[in-house]
Amino acid sequence: MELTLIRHAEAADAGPDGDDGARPLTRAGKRTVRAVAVALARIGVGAELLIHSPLLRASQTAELLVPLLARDGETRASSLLAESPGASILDLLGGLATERVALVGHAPALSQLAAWLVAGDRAAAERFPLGKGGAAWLRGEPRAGAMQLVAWLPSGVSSRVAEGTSR
Amino acid sequence: MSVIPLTPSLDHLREHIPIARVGDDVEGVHQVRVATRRLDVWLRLAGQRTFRDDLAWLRRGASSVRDLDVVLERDLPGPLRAWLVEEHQVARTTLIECLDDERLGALLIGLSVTPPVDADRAAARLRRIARRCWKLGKAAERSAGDIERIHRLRRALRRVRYGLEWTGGKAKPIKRLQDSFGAVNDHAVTIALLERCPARAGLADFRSDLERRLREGAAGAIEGWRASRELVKALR
Repeated sequence: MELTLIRHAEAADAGPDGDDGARPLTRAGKRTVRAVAVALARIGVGAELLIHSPLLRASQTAELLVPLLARDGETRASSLLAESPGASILDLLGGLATERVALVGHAPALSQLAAWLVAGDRAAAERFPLGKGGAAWLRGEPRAGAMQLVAWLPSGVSSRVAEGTSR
Repeated sequence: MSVIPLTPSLDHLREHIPIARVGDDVEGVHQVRVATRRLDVWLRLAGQRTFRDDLAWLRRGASSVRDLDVVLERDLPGPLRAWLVEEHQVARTTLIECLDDERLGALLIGLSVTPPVDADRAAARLRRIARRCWKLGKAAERSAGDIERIHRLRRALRRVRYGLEWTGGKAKPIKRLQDSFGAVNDHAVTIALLERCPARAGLADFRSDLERRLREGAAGAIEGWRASRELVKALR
């Protein structure tokens, strides 16, 4: 499986009701995600399935990543991406028939998931720091320690890749 | 700036999920399906792709039960009815699995935090939906009774109707037009189920009668479309 983990981009503060789930992406956040979508496509990342946390900042990020979806690709909301990774997310990934999957979620859960899949240790999340709009491209079996890191794209790198420049 | 929230249909969905789960009242599953369709059109009006596949997934679960509910209301040959009752049990099990799936919880959370759509943008997208419906209508007219094309037009008319309901337009005339397509779907669903029935070989006469009624229904639907198509044309 090719698995791409993408953290949502910058979001506005919660409104007067304090609902964290209803925080939208900022204008800059949307710009970041558009660059991430271009950069990922440019390095060959695509998806047949785009699974995203249902919280607004994540679903808005997923919406802007829809261009990465294959023609008959699907999006799917999952609350598993709004919480720390447990056996359920590995069961979900292991049960998929699709080969190319993208996950859109939050910190620190995505870093924990990357650490778990690559290093076999969720507690090693600090070695996989995904900033806002950051992406990690993994390949292998979606089991603990059974995936390899193919590419690591902080949002700044994505912006430069999208612009077609490099340092 | 005028906006359209999706709240009424989300509340409707939430209200009917427990009724669908119990299954004593067929309206529960029916209204779950209706709510998923209305919400799908709202997302189209919002230009949003996320959550539409989740709604389609839930709708498939509800439709597999609802289609059987409708067919079981018909006068049916005994062997077909007996098989459909068994199929209904299987479909209900699948639906309960959907209702218990974390995906449904995520869908409800996601929709509950989705901001309202700007009314002007929704109106512009409704014009696009109407244009598509008009094209499908012309294609159905030319198709000489092609059932698949009539189905496409039926679904497109439903989107136009719900789009009008969301945007405060006059939906009733479109609903009347849509109703003329109802029989086509009922017969087509029954034929599709009959094709899977183990006892189908002994039900050839029943099938012939259904096919005749389907052809008549298709002709009636196209006639209804021709009589009222200007309603859709005006919305483009």
